[in-house]
Amino acid sequence: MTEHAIPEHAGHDHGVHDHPAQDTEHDAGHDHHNDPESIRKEVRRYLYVFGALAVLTLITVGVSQLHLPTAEGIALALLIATVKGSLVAAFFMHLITERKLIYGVLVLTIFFFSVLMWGPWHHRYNAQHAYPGYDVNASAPAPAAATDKPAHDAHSEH
Amino acid sequence: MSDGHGHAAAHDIEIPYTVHPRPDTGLYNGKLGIWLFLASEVMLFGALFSTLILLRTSSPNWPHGWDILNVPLATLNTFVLISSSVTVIMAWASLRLGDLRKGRIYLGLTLACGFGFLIIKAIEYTTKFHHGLFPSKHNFYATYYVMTGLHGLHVIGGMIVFAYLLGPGAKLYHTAPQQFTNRVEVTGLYWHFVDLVWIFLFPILYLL
Repeated sequence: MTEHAIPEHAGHDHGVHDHPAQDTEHDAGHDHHNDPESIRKEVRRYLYVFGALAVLTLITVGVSQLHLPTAEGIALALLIATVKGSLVAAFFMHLITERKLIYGVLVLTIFFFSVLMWGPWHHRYNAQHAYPGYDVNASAPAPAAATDKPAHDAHSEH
Repeated sequence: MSDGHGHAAAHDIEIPYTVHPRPDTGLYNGKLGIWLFLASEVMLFGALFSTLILLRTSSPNWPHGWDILNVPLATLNTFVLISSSVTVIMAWASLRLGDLRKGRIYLGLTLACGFGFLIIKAIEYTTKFHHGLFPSKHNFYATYYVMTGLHGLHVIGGMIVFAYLLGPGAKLYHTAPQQFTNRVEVTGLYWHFVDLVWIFLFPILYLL
């Protein structure tokens, strides 16, 4: 089965009043309005999101300079990254107005992604219970074996 | 074969639903396709993030990224990539407004941002190599190179598509403007995903 014929008039390099997209508003397969005013509103929203992403990036870097304890540092960094990622997904990838089928695909993806994330934690915190005497750090070298320690001479590149 | 048959044959091989939504999905095929592809990409990068967690939590001497990586350069790269996400969505918006010229300018800016990102990354890599910091040095560097390298390959892949859309691919706009606009949209979705991956890579590798 084929789709309807695409309107046979060329796109113009300029102008907003003779746009083919306006002819095919119902053909685009998404909920975006193609009238110029709606698009301009969207553009303003994209710029606000860009500003928010820029500020959050600076906050992320600023927080890292505090050298918080590892757990708190990771939690805060991931929280900010999740907010930034959500902004990108919701507005730039326009998930806030997407079809249900896409949400279904994403729910499945999140489930399987969660399984991937759960694996290492499960290993970390249950291996010692499952195998008494098991050392999760066994593969790491003894502190004296400095050869495996990353060189800190990279400071010089800053 | 008569002209009538030839026309019918050409009609039969036309790719369906490149513009109109399929009645059952409510989406044009390209959009559903790119989201399914991105779902597989989530699992690809997810496997690497999972590996990183396993290696990091099992190592007693995992270094701090801010101690051995170049945070200012990576911060700059973050801004470059975020900017490119804005330019690609501006290209899409311009095409929806019927302004191909502006659309191409924004596509060109996106391509330039991609080049900028790769150049900055190359500076980072070469400095590390100069100091003998190869993947074999430590698991930290192994994961750093694999994850940023795979991400960099995705940037290159997106740039190839943008270059096509900016060059020969733009001809489609004159015969099928909505189809071309949709191509820019789905490429943009991919590009935003690449940006999203970096949003997580940046703090996890550089700031923790």
